[in-house]
Amino acid sequence: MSEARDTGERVTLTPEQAAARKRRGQWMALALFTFVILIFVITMTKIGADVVVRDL
Amino acid sequence: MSDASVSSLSPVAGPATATDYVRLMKPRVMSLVVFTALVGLVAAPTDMNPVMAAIAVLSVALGSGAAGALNMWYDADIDAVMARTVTRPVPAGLVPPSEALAFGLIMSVVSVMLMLLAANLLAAALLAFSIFFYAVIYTMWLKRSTAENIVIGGAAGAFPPVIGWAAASGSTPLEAWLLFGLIFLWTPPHFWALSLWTSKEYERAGVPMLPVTHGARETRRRILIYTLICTPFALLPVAFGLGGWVYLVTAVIAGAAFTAGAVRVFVSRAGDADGAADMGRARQLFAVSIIYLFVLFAAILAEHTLPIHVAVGGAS
Repeated sequence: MSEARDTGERVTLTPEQAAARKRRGQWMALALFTFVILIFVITMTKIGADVVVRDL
Repeated sequence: MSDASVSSLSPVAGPATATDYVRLMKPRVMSLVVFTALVGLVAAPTDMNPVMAAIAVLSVALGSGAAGALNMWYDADIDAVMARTVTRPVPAGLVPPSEALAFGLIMSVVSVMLMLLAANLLAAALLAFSIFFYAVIYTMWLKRSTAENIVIGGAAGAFPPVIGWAAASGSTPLEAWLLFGLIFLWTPPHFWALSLWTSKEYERAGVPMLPVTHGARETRRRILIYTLICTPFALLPVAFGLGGWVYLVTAVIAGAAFTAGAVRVFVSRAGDADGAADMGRARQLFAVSIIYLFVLFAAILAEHTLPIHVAVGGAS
């Protein structure tokens, strides 16, 4: 396995770029959270009635 | 970590904002897509769980956005030379092409998966096919190769009501395909009206739109022909019970306005070198065409959600 070579180059974000990156990260987190909620809602809607009304 | 840092990101590679990604999804196109899908879903003679219906409509919206993002990724070179599209996120350097592609692909998978979970396999397959049709068949193939691009490619935008119908009922009967046919026949005159005043840009971008390859006169003629086919076709839902009196009256009045607009463009010189004075007629037809499709689908939606559906020639 080869190791990545550190060239010493780094990127410095301007305050505007850093803020934009933070906002984008927040939106991505919100999108992921929404996706999880949607899957949960779909699952509960599909199995909900069967879970409540079942033979014991 | 070394602090021998030092370059700053170029504006081209800078982090895009959420707004840029929303624009990538062509929200205005998406609104019409969502509306027609909703009408198909409501018009289907099957009740769907409201939560699942809402998620199915959301899936169509995401699928439309995915197709829009893939379109903007592939067409960035064309968009960059046209004034109407140069400010789009990719040609403007706000979203890197690779991110637009990844965004489109991820959204495609998510939208189809959500549709599969919330509705059924048929609706998910139709959604997947419509995304493929728009992104690959239309964008990558037809758009740059034939003047009939918008005629065949219009099918992509005609799928949403069929998808909505399939999501609700699990089938796609003739009534659903009537809605497909309506949008399919409406698309050419709608888009060719726009192309009459953007033909110079299409020509510069090397896109073989009809006014570029066949001239403005032939475009005006075909606008009229397609309108004369579309407006009578729009009455067919009445014959199949999909539309009642409200729809019939709406289709007749709106169809007359649409046809009148097409005739005014046909007898004009819009798109000709000396036709600048008549270009307003093409812009009016473009606007009227949007209203036409909207009111027709709104009439179907109203008849299937409000107690106003009275079948023509029979009881309600």
